[in-house]
Amino acid sequence: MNYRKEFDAIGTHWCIDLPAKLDAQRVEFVMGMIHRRIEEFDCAYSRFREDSMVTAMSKHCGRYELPADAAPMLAFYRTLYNLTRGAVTPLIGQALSDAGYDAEYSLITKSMTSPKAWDDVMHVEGSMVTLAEPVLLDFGAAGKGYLIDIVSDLIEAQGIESYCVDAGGDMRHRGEADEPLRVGLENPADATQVIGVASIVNRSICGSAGNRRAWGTFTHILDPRLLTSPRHILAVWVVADSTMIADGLTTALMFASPETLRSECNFEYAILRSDFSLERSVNFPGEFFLAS
Amino acid sequence: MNATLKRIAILVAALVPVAVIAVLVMRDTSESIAPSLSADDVGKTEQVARDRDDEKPEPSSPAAETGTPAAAPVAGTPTSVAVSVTEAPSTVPVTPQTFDYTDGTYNATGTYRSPAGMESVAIAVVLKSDIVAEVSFTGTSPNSTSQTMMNMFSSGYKALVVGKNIDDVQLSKVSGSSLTPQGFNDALNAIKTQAAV
Repeated sequence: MNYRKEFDAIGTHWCIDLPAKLDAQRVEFVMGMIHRRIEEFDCAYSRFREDSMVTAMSKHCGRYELPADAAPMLAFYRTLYNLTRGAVTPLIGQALSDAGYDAEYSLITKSMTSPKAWDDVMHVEGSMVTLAEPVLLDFGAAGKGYLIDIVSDLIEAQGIESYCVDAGGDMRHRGEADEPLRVGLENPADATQVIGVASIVNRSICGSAGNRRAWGTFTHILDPRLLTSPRHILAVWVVADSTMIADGLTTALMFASPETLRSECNFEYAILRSDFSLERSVNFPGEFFLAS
Repeated sequence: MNATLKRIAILVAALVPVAVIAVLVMRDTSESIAPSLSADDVGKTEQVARDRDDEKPEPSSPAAETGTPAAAPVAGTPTSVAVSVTEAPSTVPVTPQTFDYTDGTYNATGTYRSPAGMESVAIAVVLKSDIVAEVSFTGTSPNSTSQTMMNMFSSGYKALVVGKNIDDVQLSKVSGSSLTPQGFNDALNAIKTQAAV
């Protein structure tokens, strides 16, 4: 892995590793495609930009034909919504924005209300979304993971078989089984430390913790029922075959048990609770530094 | 059944067999009666929790009003597991919500027969908003070998982790909270500055 391409997009830092054997021109061509694809995704789903489809949907009700890539993401959100009894919902956008996580990063909390039930507001058929009223959607729970999958598929479509796509610590890896990616699991209490190391081969790992995107009593994760950020869990890591699934489940595990989520999804997990106790699935690929 | 309670049941079920293992280890030095707890009994332990699932106390039930502990059905002998509510709901949320379980501390005690006699282990589970917020384990025995075994189990059932410096660990990547864009960091710093006295 000799080529390392780093850039900022969709509110985080990206790092794409590509094999050394590729010629530089080819790498530039692939990176150009990746940048355009990320821009396209952002333009559809970002609630942080004025020209996005999501922003338009927050202003007018009606029927919206989203890009074709919306269908798998909306279907997965519906699965998470059902499994978490409404705790993971794309309808959380307005509450997050009112909490202060808005397009201007005001971090000033206004009056907040719980999001309405999915079926009362939104009807989804594939990538077609019909809104009964204007609503601010947020795809922060699984959108980034999904975009990592889209970018990865783009790379694979170019015949590139080994790579790593890392967006702010959520990543997908492809490569030789004897060269696993050693991923440090950041200590949420001290970013210069890790509490363990995951070993990833041909899978995805996503992490979620509230230590960076935090203001006042809030983090970027909001319980739609309580309108507070969960504090009983410091961090969650999920390893899965798809980055979208891994990403979405890190949030879902804040609200539902692993057993419940496993009825629909295949994954390994590690949950760090506020007392620094760790709960992990037996087959989580990694080691943890236990207190002696 | 609700997954949260199932997890409690699994915890209870997980605790008792380890106590049995402790007893089995002790048999090496002391030829005595076999532990009376079987896998069936563990199943019963879970069944108690399942029963509770169906018979969860409603906020308006007499038990909740008077603060009287609501006793759950007791599983068959020789193992008995009793679950009782020892703490009334501590918080009254402002927003309407639908939780399946009343917040509070739930205690369960499991008993088993060891070569040294009857032993008991207790766990306490703190439920908050349908989530297991805390678990603690207590095992007391006048027998020193039993106590040693219980202590061994107590220290292992809940793994506590510590941080190691990133520089001391060979890593290719780090995963945790996502790196934030500069705009967010700037906003955060501005708030901190405003908030500073």
